Amino acid sequence: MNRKEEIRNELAEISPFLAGLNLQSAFKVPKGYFAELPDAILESVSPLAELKRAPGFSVPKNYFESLPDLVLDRVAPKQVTETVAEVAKPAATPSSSWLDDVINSIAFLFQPRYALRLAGVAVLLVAGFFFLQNPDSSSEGTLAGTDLDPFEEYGINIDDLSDEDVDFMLEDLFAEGISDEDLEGLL
Amino acid sequence: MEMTDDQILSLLQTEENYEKGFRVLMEAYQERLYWHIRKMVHQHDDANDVIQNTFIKVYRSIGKFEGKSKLYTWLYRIATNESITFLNKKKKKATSSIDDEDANLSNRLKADEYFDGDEIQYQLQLALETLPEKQKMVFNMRYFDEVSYADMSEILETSVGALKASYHHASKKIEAFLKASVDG
Repeated sequence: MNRKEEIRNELAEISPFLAGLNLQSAFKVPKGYFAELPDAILESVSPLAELKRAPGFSVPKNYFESLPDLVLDRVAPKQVTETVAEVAKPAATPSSSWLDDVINSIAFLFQPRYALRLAGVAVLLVAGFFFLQNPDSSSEGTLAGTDLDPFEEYGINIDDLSDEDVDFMLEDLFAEGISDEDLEGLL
Repeated sequence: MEMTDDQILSLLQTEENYEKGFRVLMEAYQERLYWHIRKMVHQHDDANDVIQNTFIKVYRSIGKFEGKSKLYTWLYRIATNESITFLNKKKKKATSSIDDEDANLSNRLKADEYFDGDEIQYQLQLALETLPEKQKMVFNMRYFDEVSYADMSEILETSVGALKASYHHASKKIEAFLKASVDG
């Protein structure tokens, strides 16, 4: 009696119901899976793959535990103190007087984002002023090296420009490489 | 021509033939081991991960194979251990209850493009899922893979008597589950 028969007979004794079903495994694999598997495994055990897993570098014992302290030691103590103080500062402190409110508002306007917008508005106001003072000015008119002619040429009213337009314009100016001197001149 | 285990092992003993020998070994055993693993982990992607881990382990430790057991029982043992390790890790990650797990298996099998069973085969998988891990393994190895009790004893490091009892219990429980699902 071969093993197949032996196993079938054994099951028929334990459970004639189960033996009668004669079930096969219903699991399948993707097409060509077994043809490709040896290559996939050999690739993952190749010396190159082994090197990738363990490239041979190591670090001194407890290196990563001490790294944050090493970095903090090399940062200027003043800078650390300021940074810590900045982080520890409450997000919004209540103003103690109207003067504090005014100072806070001015400080708020000097944040880089708003300072740029203000600079943009200043440029437009100055340009508008010159335009109104000298309506016959030639198309070569420039302001601190910045050509503002497109406004006139395309009939754009400066007052109609939104903050976003000004931001966009300034981005263009910076993209073209406006110098610090030009910027100071504009301001 | 198919190589014998001794021929494969002799190839693996020389450095210049090591890769060739390992390829022959994989080609000879990959399907048997894959199906053994697949019946335990169910999903093809999981079985693929486990069989790759199994062969990587074999690649690194074939030098330790002393020939005291058959090559295929040694390979089965590694595959079994890798499958159990995988299932334990999966269980640790899972946060759902046992009922949810059953529902998950049911849904996974129905959605699995690599499961092509009819209703009774689908019910058989659900019945197997109700068994303890080792009982499930014994049933699968005996019923589907037709492994002898002597070999199974080497693979699972369990006595033949205990394996026979385990197979008996597993068959009875599966019969009861399938009859209940047919009647229900």
